[in-house]
Amino acid sequence: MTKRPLVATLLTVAALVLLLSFKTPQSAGLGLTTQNGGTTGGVQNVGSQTGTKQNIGSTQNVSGATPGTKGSYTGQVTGSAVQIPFGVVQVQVTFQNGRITDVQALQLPNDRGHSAQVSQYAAPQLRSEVLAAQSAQVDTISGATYTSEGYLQSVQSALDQAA
Amino acid sequence: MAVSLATAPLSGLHRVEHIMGTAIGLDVRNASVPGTALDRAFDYLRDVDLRFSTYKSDSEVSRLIRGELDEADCSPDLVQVLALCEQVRRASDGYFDIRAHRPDGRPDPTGLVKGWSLENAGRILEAAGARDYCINGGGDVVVRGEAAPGKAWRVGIRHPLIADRLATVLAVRGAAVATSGAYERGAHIRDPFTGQAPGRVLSFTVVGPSLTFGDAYATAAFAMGPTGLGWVASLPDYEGCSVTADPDGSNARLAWTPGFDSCFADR
Repeated sequence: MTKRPLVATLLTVAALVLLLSFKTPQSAGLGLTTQNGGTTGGVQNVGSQTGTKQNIGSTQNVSGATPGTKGSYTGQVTGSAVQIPFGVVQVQVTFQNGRITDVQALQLPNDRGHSAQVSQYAAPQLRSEVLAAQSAQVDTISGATYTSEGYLQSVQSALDQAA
Repeated sequence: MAVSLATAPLSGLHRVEHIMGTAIGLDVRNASVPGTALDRAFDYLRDVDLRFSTYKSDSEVSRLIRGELDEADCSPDLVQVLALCEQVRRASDGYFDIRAHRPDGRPDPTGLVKGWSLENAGRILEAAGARDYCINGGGDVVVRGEAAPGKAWRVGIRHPLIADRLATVLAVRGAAVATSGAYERGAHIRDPFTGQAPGRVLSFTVVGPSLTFGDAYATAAFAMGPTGLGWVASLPDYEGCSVTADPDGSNARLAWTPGFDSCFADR
Protein backbone atom coordinates (compact mmCIF):
# COMPACT_ATOMS: atom_id res chain seq x y z
CA MET A 1 0.00 0.00 0.00
CA THR A 2 1.62 3.16 -1.07
CA LYS A 3 0.85 6.64 -0.04
CA ARG A 4 0.28 9.04 -2.85
CA PRO A 5 0.69 12.37 -1.13
CA LEU A 6 0.18 14.68 -4.05
CA VAL A 7 -2.30 15.63 -6.61
CA ALA A 8 -2.37 12.86 -8.76
CA THR A 9 -3.58 10.63 -6.15
CA LEU A 10 -4.45 8.56 -9.07
CA LEU A 11 -7.69 6.89 -9.82
CA THR A 12 -8.31 3.83 -11.79
CA VAL A 13 -9.55 4.42 -15.22
CA ALA A 14 -12.50 2.25 -14.35
CA ALA A 15 -14.79 5.10 -13.59
CA LEU A 16 -13.88 6.90 -16.75
CA VAL A 17 -14.48 3.79 -18.69
CA LEU A 18 -17.87 3.37 -17.19
CA LEU A 19 -18.92 6.85 -17.90
CA LEU A 20 -17.64 6.56 -21.40
CA SER A 21 -19.50 3.37 -21.98
CA PHE A 22 -22.37 5.01 -23.76
CA LYS A 23 -20.51 4.45 -26.96
CA THR A 24 -21.85 1.96 -29.39
CA PRO A 25 -19.84 -1.20 -29.79
CA GLN A 26 -17.19 -1.37 -32.39
CA SER A 27 -14.13 -3.41 -32.85
CA ALA A 28 -11.26 -2.26 -30.77
CA GLY A 29 -8.62 -0.28 -32.55
CA LEU A 30 -5.75 -2.05 -30.95
CA GLY A 31 -3.38 -2.11 -33.82
CA LEU A 32 -3.10 -5.85 -33.61
CA THR A 33 -1.58 -7.61 -36.51
CA THR A 34 -1.08 -11.27 -37.01
CA GLN A 35 2.45 -10.96 -38.13
CA ASN A 36 4.94 -12.94 -36.23
CA GLY A 37 7.80 -10.75 -35.18
CA GLY A 38 10.14 -13.67 -35.29
CA THR A 39 12.59 -12.41 -32.73
CA THR A 40 13.69 -14.68 -30.00
CA GLY A 41 13.50 -13.90 -26.33
CA GLY A 42 11.03 -14.43 -23.54
CA VAL A 43 8.18 -15.45 -25.71
CA GLN A 44 10.11 -17.99 -27.68
CA ASN A 45 11.74 -19.47 -24.63
CA VAL A 46 8.41 -20.50 -23.25
CA GLY A 47 8.03 -22.76 -26.21
CA SER A 48 5.04 -25.00 -26.54
CA GLN A 49 3.37 -23.80 -23.41
CA THR A 50 2.31 -20.51 -24.91
CA GLY A 51 -0.28 -19.56 -27.44
CA THR A 52 0.60 -17.79 -30.61
CA LYS A 53 2.09 -14.36 -30.51
CA GLN A 54 1.24 -11.24 -32.31
CA ASN A 55 2.84 -7.95 -32.88
CA ILE A 56 0.84 -5.60 -30.73
CA GLY A 57 2.51 -2.41 -31.68
CA SER A 58 5.56 -0.75 -30.32
CA THR A 59 6.89 2.66 -29.64
CA GLN A 60 8.09 2.81 -33.21
CA ASN A 61 4.83 2.37 -34.99
CA VAL A 62 2.34 4.25 -32.92
CA SER A 63 -0.51 5.51 -34.93
CA GLY A 64 -2.72 6.43 -32.03
CA ALA A 65 -6.28 5.46 -31.34
CA THR A 66 -8.68 6.25 -34.10
CA PRO A 67 -12.13 5.88 -32.63
CA GLY A 68 -15.07 5.50 -34.93
CA THR A 69 -17.91 7.93 -35.03
CA LYS A 70 -21.33 7.23 -33.59
CA GLY A 71 -23.54 9.36 -31.48
CA SER A 72 -24.61 12.91 -31.71
CA TYR A 73 -22.86 15.68 -29.87
CA THR A 74 -20.10 17.67 -31.52
CA GLY A 75 -18.30 20.44 -29.77
CA GLN A 76 -16.23 21.34 -26.78
CA VAL A 77 -17.47 21.24 -23.23
CA THR A 78 -15.67 22.66 -20.26
CA GLY A 79 -15.88 20.53 -17.16
CA SER A 80 -16.35 21.82 -13.68
CA ALA A 81 -13.38 23.16 -11.78
CA VAL A 82 -12.89 20.49 -9.17
CA GLN A 83 -11.14 21.33 -5.93
CA ILE A 84 -8.81 18.62 -4.74
CA PRO A 85 -6.50 18.79 -1.74
CA PHE A 86 -3.60 20.16 -3.72
CA GLY A 87 -5.28 22.46 -6.16
CA VAL A 88 -7.91 22.68 -8.85
CA VAL A 89 -8.49 20.36 -11.76
CA GLN A 90 -10.51 21.41 -14.77
CA VAL A 91 -10.69 19.80 -18.17
CA GLN A 92 -12.15 20.58 -21.55
CA VAL A 93 -13.60 17.66 -23.45
CA THR A 94 -13.94 17.71 -27.22
CA PHE A 95 -16.72 15.63 -28.73
CA GLN A 96 -17.22 14.73 -32.32
CA ASN A 97 -20.46 12.98 -33.15
CA GLY A 98 -20.80 11.91 -29.57
CA ARG A 99 -17.31 10.53 -29.22
CA ILE A 100 -14.62 12.04 -27.13
CA THR A 101 -11.81 13.02 -29.41
CA ASP A 102 -9.74 15.01 -26.94
CA VAL A 103 -9.40 15.88 -23.30
CA GLN A 104 -7.32 18.87 -22.38
CA ALA A 105 -6.49 20.00 -18.90
CA LEU A 106 -7.36 23.65 -18.40
CA GLN A 107 -6.25 23.74 -14.80
CA LEU A 108 -3.99 21.42 -12.91
CA PRO A 109 -2.48 21.92 -9.49
CA ASN A 110 0.76 23.80 -9.67
CA ASP A 111 1.11 25.09 -6.16
CA ARG A 112 4.24 23.16 -5.49
CA GLY A 113 7.06 22.00 -7.63
CA HIS A 114 6.46 18.36 -7.14
CA SER A 115 2.71 18.68 -7.58
CA ALA A 116 3.21 20.40 -10.88
CA GLN A 117 5.64 17.75 -11.94
CA VAL A 118 3.20 15.00 -11.14
CA SER A 119 0.44 16.85 -12.95
CA GLN A 120 2.47 17.27 -16.08
CA TYR A 121 3.33 13.63 -16.04
CA ALA A 122 -0.10 12.35 -15.20
CA ALA A 123 -2.26 14.52 -17.43
CA PRO A 124 -1.13 13.07 -20.75
CA GLN A 125 -1.54 9.60 -19.29
CA LEU A 126 -5.05 10.38 -18.18
CA ARG A 127 -5.99 11.76 -21.54
CA SER A 128 -4.57 8.75 -23.31
CA GLU A 129 -6.38 6.35 -21.05
CA VAL A 130 -9.70 8.03 -21.63
CA LEU A 131 -9.22 7.75 -25.35
CA ALA A 132 -7.98 4.18 -25.21
CA ALA A 133 -10.84 3.06 -23.02
CA GLN A 134 -13.38 4.62 -25.29
CA SER A 135 -11.94 3.26 -28.49
CA ALA A 136 -11.94 -0.28 -27.18
CA GLN A 137 -15.35 -0.32 -25.54
CA VAL A 138 -14.13 -1.80 -22.32
CA ASP A 139 -15.77 -1.80 -18.92
CA THR A 140 -12.51 -1.46 -17.08
CA ILE A 141 -8.76 -1.65 -17.57
CA SER A 142 -6.28 -3.88 -15.83
CA GLY A 143 -2.92 -2.31 -15.23
CA ALA A 144 -4.11 1.25 -15.55
CA THR A 145 -3.47 3.59 -12.69
CA TYR A 146 -3.20 7.10 -13.96
CA THR A 147 -6.53 8.67 -13.35
CA SER A 148 -6.98 11.38 -10.84
CA GLU A 149 -10.19 11.89 -9.00
CA GLY A 150 -10.36 15.54 -9.92
CA TYR A 151 -9.72 14.80 -13.54
CA LEU A 152 -12.42 12.21 -13.49
CA GLN A 153 -14.96 14.49 -11.91
CA SER A 154 -14.25 17.26 -14.34
CA VAL A 155 -14.60 14.92 -17.30
CA GLN A 156 -17.83 13.67 -15.82
CA SER A 157 -19.27 17.11 -15.54
CA ALA A 158 -18.39 17.79 -19.15
CA LEU A 159 -20.16 14.60 -20.16
CA ASP A 160 -23.19 15.60 -18.15
CA GLN A 161 -23.36 18.87 -20.00
CA ALA A 162 -22.99 17.21 -23.35
CA ALA A 163 -25.71 14.70 -22.60
CA MET B 1 -22.87 9.20 -12.41
CA ALA B 2 -24.31 7.47 -15.43
CA VAL B 3 -24.28 9.45 -18.61
CA SER B 4 -26.59 8.98 -21.50
CA LEU B 5 -25.66 10.04 -24.96
CA ALA B 6 -26.25 7.27 -27.41
CA THR B 7 -27.87 4.66 -25.24
CA ALA B 8 -29.83 4.40 -22.01
CA PRO B 9 -28.00 5.15 -18.79
CA LEU B 10 -26.49 2.22 -16.99
CA SER B 11 -28.39 1.06 -13.99
CA GLY B 12 -26.67 0.26 -10.76
CA LEU B 13 -24.01 1.95 -8.72
CA HIS B 14 -20.55 3.16 -9.42
CA ARG B 15 -18.23 4.99 -7.13
CA VAL B 16 -14.51 5.57 -6.93
CA GLU B 17 -12.61 6.44 -3.78
CA HIS B 18 -8.99 6.92 -2.86
CA ILE B 19 -7.83 4.23 -0.51
CA MET B 20 -4.49 2.48 -0.07
CA GLY B 21 -2.76 5.17 -2.07
CA THR B 22 -4.68 4.31 -5.20
CA ALA B 23 -8.14 4.57 -6.63
CA ILE B 24 -10.63 1.86 -5.99
CA GLY B 25 -13.76 1.69 -8.09
CA LEU B 26 -16.83 -0.32 -7.20
CA ASP B 27 -19.24 -0.84 -10.07
CA VAL B 28 -22.40 -2.80 -9.28
CA ARG B 29 -24.80 -3.44 -12.14
CA ASN B 30 -27.69 -4.81 -10.07
CA ALA B 31 -30.18 -2.03 -9.50
CA SER B 32 -31.50 -3.66 -6.33
CA VAL B 33 -28.26 -3.22 -4.41
CA PRO B 34 -28.42 -0.26 -2.05
CA GLY B 35 -25.74 2.41 -1.90
CA THR B 36 -25.05 1.44 1.68
CA ALA B 37 -23.44 -1.74 0.36
CA LEU B 38 -20.79 0.40 -1.32
CA ASP B 39 -20.37 2.35 1.90
CA ARG B 40 -19.69 -0.85 3.77
CA ALA B 41 -17.22 -2.11 1.19
CA PHE B 42 -15.31 1.18 1.19
CA ASP B 43 -15.38 1.28 5.00
CA TYR B 44 -13.88 -2.17 5.03
CA LEU B 45 -11.12 -1.17 2.62
CA ARG B 46 -10.31 1.93 4.64
CA ASP B 47 -10.10 -0.22 7.74
CA VAL B 48 -7.73 -2.61 5.99
CA ASP B 49 -5.59 0.35 4.99
CA LEU B 50 -5.41 1.55 8.58
CA ARG B 51 -4.36 -1.85 9.80
CA PHE B 52 -2.09 -2.96 6.96
CA SER B 53 -0.46 0.14 5.53
CA THR B 54 3.28 0.38 5.79
CA TYR B 55 2.89 4.15 5.51
CA LYS B 56 1.07 4.36 8.81
CA SER B 57 3.61 3.91 11.55
CA ASP B 58 1.06 2.64 14.06
CA SER B 59 -0.51 0.05 11.77
CA GLU B 60 -0.32 -3.57 12.74
CA VAL B 61 1.88 -4.34 9.75
CA SER B 62 4.25 -1.50 10.60
CA ARG B 63 4.61 -2.89 14.10
CA LEU B 64 5.19 -6.36 12.67
CA ILE B 65 7.88 -5.03 10.35
CA ARG B 66 9.58 -3.17 13.19
CA GLY B 67 9.61 -6.34 15.23
CA GLU B 68 7.33 -4.93 17.90
CA LEU B 69 4.76 -7.57 17.10
CA ASP B 70 5.42 -11.29 16.82
CA GLU B 71 3.76 -13.15 14.02
CA ALA B 72 2.13 -15.36 16.63
CA ASP B 73 0.41 -12.33 18.13
CA CYS B 74 -1.00 -10.90 14.92
CA SER B 75 -4.71 -10.47 14.31
CA PRO B 76 -6.50 -13.36 12.61
CA ASP B 77 -6.64 -11.34 9.38
CA LEU B 78 -2.91 -10.72 9.36
CA VAL B 79 -2.20 -14.33 10.27
CA GLN B 80 -4.29 -15.35 7.30
CA VAL B 81 -2.53 -12.90 4.99
CA LEU B 82 0.89 -14.10 6.10
CA ALA B 83 -0.16 -17.70 5.53
CA LEU B 84 -1.37 -16.83 2.03
CA CYS B 85 1.93 -15.07 1.32
CA GLU B 86 3.80 -18.18 2.37
CA GLN B 87 1.57 -20.30 0.16
CA VAL B 88 2.37 -18.14 -2.85
CA ARG B 89 6.07 -18.06 -1.99
CA ARG B 90 6.18 -21.82 -2.13
CA ALA B 91 4.09 -22.03 -5.27
CA SER B 92 6.36 -19.51 -6.99
CA ASP B 93 9.66 -21.08 -5.93
CA GLY B 94 10.42 -17.98 -3.92
CA TYR B 95 9.74 -15.40 -6.59
CA PHE B 96 6.98 -13.95 -4.46
CA ASP B 97 8.76 -13.42 -1.18
CA ILE B 98 7.55 -10.89 1.35
CA ARG B 99 10.84 -11.08 3.20
CA ALA B 100 13.02 -10.33 0.21
CA HIS B 101 12.31 -6.60 0.06
CA ARG B 102 13.88 -5.66 3.33
CA PRO B 103 17.49 -5.98 4.43
CA ASP B 104 16.31 -7.11 7.85
CA GLY B 105 14.21 -9.89 6.39
CA ARG B 106 11.08 -8.78 8.21
CA PRO B 107 7.84 -9.70 6.44
CA ASP B 108 6.04 -7.02 4.43
CA PRO B 109 2.79 -8.52 3.08
CA THR B 110 1.83 -5.41 1.10
CA GLY B 111 2.07 -7.28 -2.20
CA LEU B 112 -0.84 -9.51 -1.30
CA VAL B 113 -3.03 -7.29 0.85
CA LYS B 114 -4.61 -5.27 -1.92
CA GLY B 115 -5.86 -8.24 -3.92
CA TRP B 116 -7.00 -10.00 -0.79
CA SER B 117 -8.94 -7.01 0.50
CA LEU B 118 -10.53 -6.27 -2.88
CA GLU B 119 -11.74 -9.82 -3.04
CA ASN B 120 -13.20 -9.48 0.46
CA ALA B 121 -14.85 -6.22 -0.55
CA GLY B 122 -16.53 -8.17 -3.32
CA ARG B 123 -17.95 -10.55 -0.75
CA ILE B 124 -19.41 -7.59 1.11
CA LEU B 125 -21.14 -6.51 -2.09
CA GLU B 126 -22.39 -10.04 -2.66
CA ALA B 127 -23.82 -10.18 0.85
CA ALA B 128 -25.91 -7.16 -0.12
CA GLY B 129 -27.22 -8.93 -3.19
CA ALA B 130 -24.67 -7.93 -5.82
CA ARG B 131 -24.28 -10.58 -8.50
CA ASP B 132 -22.92 -8.52 -11.36
CA TYR B 133 -20.12 -6.24 -10.32
CA CYS B 134 -16.65 -5.04 -11.13
CA ILE B 135 -14.00 -3.90 -8.70
CA ASN B 136 -10.90 -2.15 -9.94
CA GLY B 137 -8.22 -1.28 -7.42
CA GLY B 138 -5.30 0.46 -9.05
CA GLY B 139 -5.57 -1.70 -12.13
CA ASP B 140 -6.26 -4.99 -10.40
CA VAL B 141 -9.71 -6.18 -11.30
CA VAL B 142 -12.38 -8.55 -10.05
CA VAL B 143 -15.50 -9.09 -12.11
CA ARG B 144 -18.42 -11.29 -11.22
CA GLY B 145 -21.52 -12.07 -13.20
CA GLU B 146 -22.05 -10.02 -16.32
CA ALA B 147 -21.71 -6.42 -17.41
CA ALA B 148 -25.25 -6.60 -18.76
CA PRO B 149 -27.63 -9.50 -19.38
CA GLY B 150 -25.89 -11.76 -21.87
CA LYS B 151 -22.79 -9.58 -22.02
CA ALA B 152 -19.45 -10.52 -20.55
CA TRP B 153 -17.30 -7.91 -18.88
CA ARG B 154 -14.83 -6.37 -21.27
CA VAL B 155 -11.54 -5.87 -19.49
CA GLY B 156 -8.81 -4.02 -21.32
CA ILE B 157 -5.18 -4.70 -20.56
CA ARG B 158 -3.14 -1.59 -20.62
CA HIS B 159 -0.41 -1.44 -23.21
CA PRO B 160 2.75 -1.02 -21.17
CA LEU B 161 4.44 1.22 -23.72
CA ILE B 162 1.63 3.17 -25.31
CA ALA B 163 -0.83 4.78 -22.96
CA ASP B 164 -3.51 5.34 -25.57
CA ARG B 165 -3.61 1.72 -26.58
CA LEU B 166 -4.64 -1.46 -24.96
CA ALA B 167 -2.52 -4.56 -25.37
CA THR B 168 -5.67 -6.61 -25.72
CA VAL B 169 -9.25 -6.87 -24.52
CA LEU B 170 -10.65 -9.77 -22.55
CA ALA B 171 -14.26 -10.83 -22.24
CA VAL B 172 -14.80 -12.59 -18.93
CA ARG B 173 -17.71 -13.35 -16.66
CA GLY B 174 -16.34 -14.38 -13.31
CA ALA B 175 -12.64 -13.67 -13.04
CA ALA B 176 -9.86 -11.80 -11.39
CA VAL B 177 -7.53 -9.94 -13.73
CA ALA B 178 -4.28 -8.69 -12.23
CA THR B 179 -1.50 -6.95 -14.09
CA SER B 180 2.02 -6.27 -12.91
CA GLY B 181 4.29 -4.10 -14.91
CA ALA B 182 7.19 -1.74 -14.92
CA TYR B 183 5.30 1.14 -16.50
CA GLU B 184 3.65 2.10 -13.27
CA ARG B 185 5.68 3.79 -10.53
CA GLY B 186 8.85 2.73 -12.20
CA ALA B 187 10.31 -0.71 -11.89
CA HIS B 188 9.02 -1.61 -8.49
CA ILE B 189 9.16 -5.34 -8.84
CA ARG B 190 12.52 -6.94 -8.57
CA ASP B 191 13.79 -10.43 -8.89
CA PRO B 192 14.30 -11.45 -5.24
CA PHE B 193 17.32 -13.51 -6.23
CA THR B 194 19.19 -10.90 -8.23
CA GLY B 195 17.71 -7.66 -6.92
CA GLN B 196 17.34 -6.52 -10.50
CA ALA B 197 14.27 -5.36 -12.33
CA PRO B 198 13.42 -7.96 -14.95
CA GLY B 199 14.08 -7.01 -18.54
CA ARG B 200 12.11 -7.60 -21.69
CA VAL B 201 8.83 -8.58 -20.06
CA LEU B 202 7.04 -5.25 -19.72
CA SER B 203 3.88 -6.43 -18.08
CA PHE B 204 2.32 -9.64 -16.96
CA THR B 205 -1.38 -10.31 -16.55
CA VAL B 206 -2.88 -13.22 -14.68
CA VAL B 207 -6.52 -14.29 -14.99
CA GLY B 208 -8.08 -16.71 -12.57
CA PRO B 209 -10.71 -17.25 -9.92
CA SER B 210 -9.10 -15.31 -7.06
CA LEU B 211 -7.58 -11.84 -7.05
CA THR B 212 -5.68 -12.66 -3.87
CA PHE B 213 -3.69 -15.26 -5.74
CA GLY B 214 -3.95 -13.70 -9.17
CA ASP B 215 -2.34 -10.47 -8.01
CA ALA B 216 0.47 -12.27 -6.21
CA TYR B 217 0.97 -14.65 -9.14
CA ALA B 218 1.24 -11.72 -11.52
CA THR B 219 3.90 -10.19 -9.29
CA ALA B 220 5.82 -13.45 -9.19
CA ALA B 221 5.47 -14.14 -12.91
CA PHE B 222 6.67 -10.65 -13.76
CA ALA B 223 9.69 -11.12 -11.53
CA MET B 224 10.46 -14.42 -13.26
CA GLY B 225 10.71 -12.68 -16.60
CA PRO B 226 10.91 -15.05 -19.55
CA THR B 227 9.94 -18.11 -17.54
CA GLY B 228 6.86 -16.53 -15.99
CA LEU B 229 4.47 -17.61 -18.70
CA GLY B 230 5.48 -21.23 -18.45
CA TRP B 231 5.07 -21.10 -14.71
CA VAL B 232 1.57 -19.63 -14.87
CA ALA B 233 0.63 -22.24 -17.48
CA SER B 234 1.45 -24.86 -14.88
CA LEU B 235 -0.89 -23.39 -12.25
CA PRO B 236 -4.33 -25.00 -12.05
CA ASP B 237 -7.17 -22.56 -12.84
CA TYR B 238 -4.87 -19.63 -13.71
CA GLU B 239 -3.85 -18.36 -17.11
CA GLY B 240 -1.70 -15.48 -18.14
CA CYS B 241 -0.35 -13.26 -20.84
CA SER B 242 2.75 -11.13 -21.07
CA VAL B 243 3.80 -8.17 -23.11
CA THR B 244 7.42 -8.34 -24.13
CA ALA B 245 9.56 -6.02 -26.18
CA ASP B 246 12.99 -5.71 -27.60
CA PRO B 247 15.41 -3.74 -25.45
CA ASP B 248 14.80 -0.61 -27.51
CA GLY B 249 11.06 -0.83 -26.90
CA SER B 250 10.21 -2.07 -30.36
CA ASN B 251 8.34 -5.20 -31.36
CA ALA B 252 6.00 -5.30 -28.41
CA ARG B 253 4.39 -8.70 -28.42
CA LEU B 254 1.62 -10.40 -26.59
CA ALA B 255 2.15 -14.01 -25.59
CA TRP B 256 -0.22 -16.16 -23.60
CA THR B 257 -0.76 -19.51 -22.03
CA PRO B 258 -2.87 -22.03 -23.97
CA GLY B 259 -5.85 -21.72 -21.65
CA PHE B 260 -5.84 -17.96 -22.10
CA ASP B 261 -7.33 -18.34 -25.57
CA SER B 262 -10.85 -18.40 -24.18
CA CYS B 263 -10.36 -15.04 -22.44
CA PHE B 264 -9.97 -12.92 -25.54
CA ALA B 265 -12.90 -10.70 -26.43
CA ASP B 266 -12.34 -10.83 -30.17
CA ARG B 267 -11.64 -14.36 -31.17
